[in-house]
Amino acid sequence: MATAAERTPPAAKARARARVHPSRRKDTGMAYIMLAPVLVLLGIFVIWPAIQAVYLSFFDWSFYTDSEFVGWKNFRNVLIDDNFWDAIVRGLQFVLMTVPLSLVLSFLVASLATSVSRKVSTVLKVSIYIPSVISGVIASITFVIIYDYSGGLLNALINIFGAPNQAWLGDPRWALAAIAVPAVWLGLGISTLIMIAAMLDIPESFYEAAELEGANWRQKTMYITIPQMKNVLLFLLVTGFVGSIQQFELPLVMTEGGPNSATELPNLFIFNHFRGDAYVGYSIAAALLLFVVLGTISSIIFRIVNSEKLVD
Amino acid sequence: MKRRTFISTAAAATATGLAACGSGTPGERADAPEAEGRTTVEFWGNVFTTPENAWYEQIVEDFNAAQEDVYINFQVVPGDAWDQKLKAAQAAGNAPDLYIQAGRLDTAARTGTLMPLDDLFDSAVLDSVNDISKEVSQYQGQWYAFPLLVEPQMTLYWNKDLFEQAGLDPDSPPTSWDEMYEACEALSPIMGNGQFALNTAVDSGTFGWTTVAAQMHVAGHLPISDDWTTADAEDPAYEELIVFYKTLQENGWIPRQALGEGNSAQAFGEGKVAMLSQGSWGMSEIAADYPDLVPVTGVAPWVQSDGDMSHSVSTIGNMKWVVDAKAKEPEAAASFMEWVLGGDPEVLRPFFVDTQFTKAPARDEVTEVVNSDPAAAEASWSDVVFEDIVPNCIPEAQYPWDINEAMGDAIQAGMLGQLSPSEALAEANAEIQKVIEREDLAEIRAEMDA
Amino acid sequence: MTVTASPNTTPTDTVLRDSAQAEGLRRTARRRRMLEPRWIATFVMKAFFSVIILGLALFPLAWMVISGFKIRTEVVSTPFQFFPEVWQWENYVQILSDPSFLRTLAITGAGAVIFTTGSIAVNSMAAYAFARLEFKGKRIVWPIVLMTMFIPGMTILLTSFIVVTNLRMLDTMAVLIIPGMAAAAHIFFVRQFYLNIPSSLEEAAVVDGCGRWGVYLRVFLPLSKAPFVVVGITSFMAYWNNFVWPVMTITSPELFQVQQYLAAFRGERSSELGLLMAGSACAAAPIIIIFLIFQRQIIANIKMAGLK
Repeated sequence: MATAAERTPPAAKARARARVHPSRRKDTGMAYIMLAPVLVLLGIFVIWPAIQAVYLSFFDWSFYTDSEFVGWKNFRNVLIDDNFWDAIVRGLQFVLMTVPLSLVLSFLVASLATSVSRKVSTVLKVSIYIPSVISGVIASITFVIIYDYSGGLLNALINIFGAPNQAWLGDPRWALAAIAVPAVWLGLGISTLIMIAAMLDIPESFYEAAELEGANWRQKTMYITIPQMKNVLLFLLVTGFVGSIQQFELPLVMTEGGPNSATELPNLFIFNHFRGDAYVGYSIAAALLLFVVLGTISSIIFRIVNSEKLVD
Repeated sequence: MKRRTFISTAAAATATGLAACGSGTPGERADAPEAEGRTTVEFWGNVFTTPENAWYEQIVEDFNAAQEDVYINFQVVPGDAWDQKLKAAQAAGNAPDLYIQAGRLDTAARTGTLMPLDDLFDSAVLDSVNDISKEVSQYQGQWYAFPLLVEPQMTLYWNKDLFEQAGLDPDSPPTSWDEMYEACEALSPIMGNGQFALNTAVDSGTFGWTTVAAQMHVAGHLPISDDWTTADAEDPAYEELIVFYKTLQENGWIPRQALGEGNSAQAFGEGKVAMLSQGSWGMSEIAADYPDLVPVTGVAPWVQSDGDMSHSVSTIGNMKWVVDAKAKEPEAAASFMEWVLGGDPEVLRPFFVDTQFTKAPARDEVTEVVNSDPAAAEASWSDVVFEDIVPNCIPEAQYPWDINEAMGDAIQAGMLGQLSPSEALAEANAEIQKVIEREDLAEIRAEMDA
Repeated sequence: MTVTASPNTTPTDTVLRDSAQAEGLRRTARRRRMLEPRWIATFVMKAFFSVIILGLALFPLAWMVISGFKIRTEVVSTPFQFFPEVWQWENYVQILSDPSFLRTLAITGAGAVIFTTGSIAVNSMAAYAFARLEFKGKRIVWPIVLMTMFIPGMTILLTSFIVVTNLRMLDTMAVLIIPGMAAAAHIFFVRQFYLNIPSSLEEAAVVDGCGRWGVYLRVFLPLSKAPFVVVGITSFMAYWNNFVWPVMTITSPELFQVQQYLAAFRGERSSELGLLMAGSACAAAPIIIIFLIFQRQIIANIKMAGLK
């Protein structure tokens, strides 16, 4: 953000300054009063644990013996571990399976919901939204039963078309996609709802004007809806990426990372190490390296989308 | 089904129906006004089969009623939550005083997680433990656990009714891989869609611990040298083991995905499979949850490559109680352990009777009491377990779980045809070598033998 | 969708666009359009997609509820059985007569409400400060806060656990409510919204004698319903759906959270599939009902935000 602000042309800077509260000289005290709860909470429960994690990553620590300083050993072990990189790549595959699909679907559903009659719209919103209140645990329980090999609904369905039973969760070719389905299902409601809110925030007059000019649905979408929703889309893209690559409850409950690690997403990889290893150094080092990788990718997304936003 | 399964199923199926069990509520524990003024011992247990769970509840209740100094606060932690819960509690320094552990304890003892027990018990009590149980309870000659039982981790169950329907002799189960293929071929036609001749492990985690004995049987060694300096997974004999599962899979004789939840005998109990590979605890589950099936269920040693049932037919798992190294009340915990595990054999009798004589007690005097139970004579499978299987078992692997997992991955990848058997094993070999170097296994092995 | 997106800017339209006469023609045309095949096609497409969306969104839940009516061997039976042989209520009766289950739902709901309220309060104040106040250290504090959004929960799972242990929060409601309350993602989202509120509104309030606190309370809060709904929903869900954290921190059955309860249930009674599905359905039902009621307000709030 800071870098983006520095690159802002002078005119935009002046505009930004105009937005600032008039009596800003007295603001510092007030600002910190308003920020205090958040800063204290984040400090104690996020930043301090993060610092401690960095510290612990340089030790072999098993809770019961004296911890031993081992320098970069844990990091080296992670970096030379193909399994770690496989997990990262798998995480990115999972993001590609879920985030674009989820954004497109919620955009389409939102467009539909804002273009139909009020009653239908309400029904659509309610029904698309209900899965979002369902937990990963319940979704996992339900989908595991749907994917059941010998008595599951999905196999019964493909049997009708003459296909033999598939091991949706047991076959490495299917398993990740099988987990992506409930992930999209769970995430769709929130993003759709946010999009609907954003679409309704766009002044009706824009569309009326466009309609007068004979614009069709695609043109209205391209030239009014999407540009007007940039902030929201940015938010959904970034949170979608961060949320999706960190997904681990679904594979934890559904497959525990199997078969053959096909669903061992980065966080589950770390979690499995955490609960399986005698020492915690490896898992903490892996988690920190994941943070670096995620941070890099997130900031790239952020910069790309944000720079586009600055253009207009 | 990764590490969790290894830990919680090594000696008992993760979970089975609890319908008959009095305490239906997950994690429920009695509110305990009677705990007041007494030393409280935190005791964590896993979820086992129905009769085991009932026994644990009962002995805790009995012990709390039998004396007034110590109160046992028993908490059931489901398999799903066990690892992370214990790990987190250990990290924070508030692990339970006493908990149940399966598998090997070498790593836990070496890293100082467990309290040595030699000083907490009278030596006569510890001496009453038989050799096979002693071996899994000690590290460097010191006691770190009080054993409850040992039990084979791989046995073959077969449904005699279905054998008969398929034209097979209901009293002669397959013993070799070839005979297994023949049996599957005969059974397949009578099994419907979604039903299978045989249910074995199909995922790498379960392969990781269930095939250790077979690895030993076919190759005469484990995939790591005895001194833990070099990986030894690239053995043509291991390729044959992979081909065995691959053959079962390609012919549709075993499912491609585990049937139902967890590592239970459910699919067998519901007649979805005609044969099952499972630890001896499977019988306790079948008897408790599918009683109709007991008369037609046969138990035999698991099939071996060459049909030779005289060595390495299964690994032998165990279940034991351990005291946390930072336990606040080690003496009180020890008094409970001694009362249950080291005292009157009658306390233990219901456990072994209700689990259908499929587990071997850790003390010979308990074995005598259990064998004298009238029901013992009717449990025909008991002889198979104790005479044909247990004497020919090998101990569980002592190396870190990553090595089990590397082999499990290789078997699964080979079975599904993702890699050829030799490629899969080359990958496993590289992975094992990496673990050896990362964890400095040679040094750890030397320390263990010291 | 592709049908509605077909080109309709014909040369005739272009010619007519600016004439006053065109307006009247267009109105008639719009009325007439309702009878045109393309309008019907659009209508059919919309109806079709609406039904598809309805089905896809609700089917897994319906499946869960139906499975709850099955006896344990029917849930994944071979041969496959879509509906239960006999619709039997036993599973639902059994789970709903279990006081520990009802208590779990109540305590999780109470925790979620407190968590959500707190989350909206602390995060929106921070968002206002970051969006509208110029203060010393902002250029350092804002990136740090933003950065916490990208710290994977897994990195700090263990060390957070050590922190709450040292604070003696283990096995209390506090350990569920307090640590996750401040969330950079929420601050970011509300801040984005606040940045778009015109400063003229704010200046007007200052002219009326409001301080910064007054501006926040009287100008920003009333405009914040839309982002608050989003933050509120997300927080509520985060709390209700939390699984690993309660498992690690809560040991007393009296404080069991709903996901923890279900997972324990699944672990302890894995062959009781019918009962498990009934339990899952019942664990999902209260929150679905709450949100069905709340849904009207969500829509209303969105409209208010839209009308400004």
